[in-house]
Amino acid sequence: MTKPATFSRTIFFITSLIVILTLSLTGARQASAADIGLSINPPLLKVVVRPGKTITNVYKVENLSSTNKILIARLIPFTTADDQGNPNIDPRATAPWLGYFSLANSFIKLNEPFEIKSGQSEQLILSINIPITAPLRDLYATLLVTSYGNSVASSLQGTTLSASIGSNLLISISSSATPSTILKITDFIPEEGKYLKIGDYYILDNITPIFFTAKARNEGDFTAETKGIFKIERNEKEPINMQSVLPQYVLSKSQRKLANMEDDKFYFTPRVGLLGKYSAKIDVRSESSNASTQIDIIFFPGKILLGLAAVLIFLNIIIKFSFSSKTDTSPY
Amino acid sequence: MNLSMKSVKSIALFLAIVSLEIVSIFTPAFTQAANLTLTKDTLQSSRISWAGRVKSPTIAGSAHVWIYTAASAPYNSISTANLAPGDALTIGTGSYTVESIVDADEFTLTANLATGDADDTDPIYFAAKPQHVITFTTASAVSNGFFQVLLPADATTPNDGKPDDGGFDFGAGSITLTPTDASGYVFISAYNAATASGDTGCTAPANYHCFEFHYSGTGGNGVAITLTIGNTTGATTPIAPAPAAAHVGTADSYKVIVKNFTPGANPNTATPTDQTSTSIALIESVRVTATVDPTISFTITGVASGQTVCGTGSTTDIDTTAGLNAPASVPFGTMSLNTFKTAAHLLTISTNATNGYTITAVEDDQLGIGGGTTPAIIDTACDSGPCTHLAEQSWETASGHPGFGYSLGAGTGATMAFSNANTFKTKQFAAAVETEAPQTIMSSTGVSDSHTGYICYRLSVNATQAAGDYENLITYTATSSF
Repeated sequence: MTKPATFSRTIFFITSLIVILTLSLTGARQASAADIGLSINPPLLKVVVRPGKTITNVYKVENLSSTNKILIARLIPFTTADDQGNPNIDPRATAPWLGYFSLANSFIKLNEPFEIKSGQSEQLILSINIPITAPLRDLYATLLVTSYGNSVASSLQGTTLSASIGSNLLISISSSATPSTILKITDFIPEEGKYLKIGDYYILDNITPIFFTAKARNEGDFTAETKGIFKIERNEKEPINMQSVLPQYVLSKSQRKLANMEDDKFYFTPRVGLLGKYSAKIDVRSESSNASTQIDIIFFPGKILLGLAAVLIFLNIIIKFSFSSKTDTSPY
Repeated sequence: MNLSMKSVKSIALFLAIVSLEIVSIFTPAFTQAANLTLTKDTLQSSRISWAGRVKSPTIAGSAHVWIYTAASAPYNSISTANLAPGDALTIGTGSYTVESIVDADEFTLTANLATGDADDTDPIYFAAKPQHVITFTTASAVSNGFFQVLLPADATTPNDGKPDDGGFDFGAGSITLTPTDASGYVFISAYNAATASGDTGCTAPANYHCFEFHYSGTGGNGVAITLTIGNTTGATTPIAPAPAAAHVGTADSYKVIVKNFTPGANPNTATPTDQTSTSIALIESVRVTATVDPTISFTITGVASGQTVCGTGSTTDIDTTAGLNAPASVPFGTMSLNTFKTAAHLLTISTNATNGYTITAVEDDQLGIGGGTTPAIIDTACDSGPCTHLAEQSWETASGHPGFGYSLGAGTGATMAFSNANTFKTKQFAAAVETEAPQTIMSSTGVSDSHTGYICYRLSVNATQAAGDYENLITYTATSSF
């Protein structure tokens, strides 16, 4: 009876092993279909700080993912990427003035991981301590909060993603609440292909809608704001069209496309009776800077004259054709 | 002369009584008018009207209005503080609606100003028309009489339909009067009368609009009466005053008078049986604002296999919705030689920042064994390349064109950095190790509500590729524009 008992135990053991192995092979691993979702507010901070002063700003970071996330908060200097207000953030960039920044949280530090549970949020209390000896200038940085994978894939054949969300800081170190800026309006022209330029005059058709583009260049050491007016005026004092300029920030030593309040090009629709010399003008004014530029434009009924010419030519052809027809109808 | 002493006393008493009666008959007692008590004029709103002036550079054809910040009576409104989006304005002679308040001396309209409405010093009016609910308690029983309510009026233009700086304007139309019956007081609507200051029957006291409420019944002492002037829509309601001269943010106070007359009395000359006055105060409304915190949110979501999200002809082979660290990985798995494998992610971004957002992508390095530098699966040069991290090219042939790259697929709302053009237009990821700047893949210049876009990854290897597990790290960064 000993052998059969041993045999039975062996069969039972092998069967159990097979079942366990089968389950381990066919049982699905815990698969995560989660998103990576982050939000931060405020997304932009513009502040003037006197040397020797400390300010704090609270950021709310929320984990919108369906799983807990490990995050790291960093401060990265940025530069302007283009003339549309986008930052160029190089994650490896550094600057000595990054030492002015720290987190006043008890448990969360810059450049150290922390966890936010799914659907929860954390406040990051950013302290900005400007030394009394700090040079008077602007500092541009992004508070970047990055999510990393919660697990390490031992044999990944492919790419790992990380999602970062950033809030931009435009900090002016100045002893004045409204530091002076040097703003200039450049590249103020009508839409390409819609004008004829003679000398300093832009000849525009008087029934064709026209766009105008312009840029603001900040040659100063502090951020400027583009609040002002675009206008078409006659004799430089009788405006016939006026549009507000969209307030935007122009960082130091950079330029920015100007836009109307719809964040579009300045747009003007002339009317038939509009003839002669006018001027298009942009006035940008702020507490710390003023800039103005204008171009001379002449509204000319080009399309109307072309139309009339076409009609005359057409009539002329008809008349000639009529005469020639009459001549041809002669019996001889 | 035989009258007894008793008789004499009786005669003297009789004469005294008769004398007193005669005196009492010819000397009636003076009637003293009593005060109506608990008198109130409850306004539907204490908001004052607005009367300002157009200031240059306001022009016709524009919806932007500048106002004078110095008062010139009767235009004493010198700030936009009492205006709010949606207010119906009269500017010049035209009717407009406030769209937004720009600052203390500028606002915008929902429509452009017409010619003639944008001239310097053209008047701007907002007419507040609060209904008046007047309540009081009677002091005596006056049968079949009437109540008169007097509202203060402007001395010069009390009935031109424009807000005045000296009192209520009659509104250049009819006024609805609605009394409420009470014990001893059954009001007769047909006899109610609303008369503008200075018109017939409403001359004294001067500079008051007159409103009469006639009733039948015995009247009563201590009866609560409610009289309503105007309606809640403002259509038949007096116009509240605009700021008085030297109005400096404090309330302007006006006196309202209520009188009770006997039947047939001429209210211009007769003495009321009872009367009282009460004060009302009007002040700028408080513009209530709610602040919505600016925020930006960014989500990466996996895309299942078999999806066509980056142009026709490119279907995803890899499911990025599930698996370890999903969706934060692109597990290409074991590659077949000279064969594409494609995967994708959906990027979603929302922000109420006015200047929009940008999403950039950067890889740490090319795909390297164990995440190292060499050997590596190169970033693709595309079909007829080279495509780079700055310029896209078509990449539709795996054989002879190995490497790793990405394309973009349109979602909703966002401006994608380039179009796949159905030929899997591809760029290399900018490589941080090469000090290449992260490249924008999605952007918008305004507020965005769940803008979406797809990023598609493609990999192909050839026979010269060393065996091993290749990895790299791609970072997507979402920031608002400044």
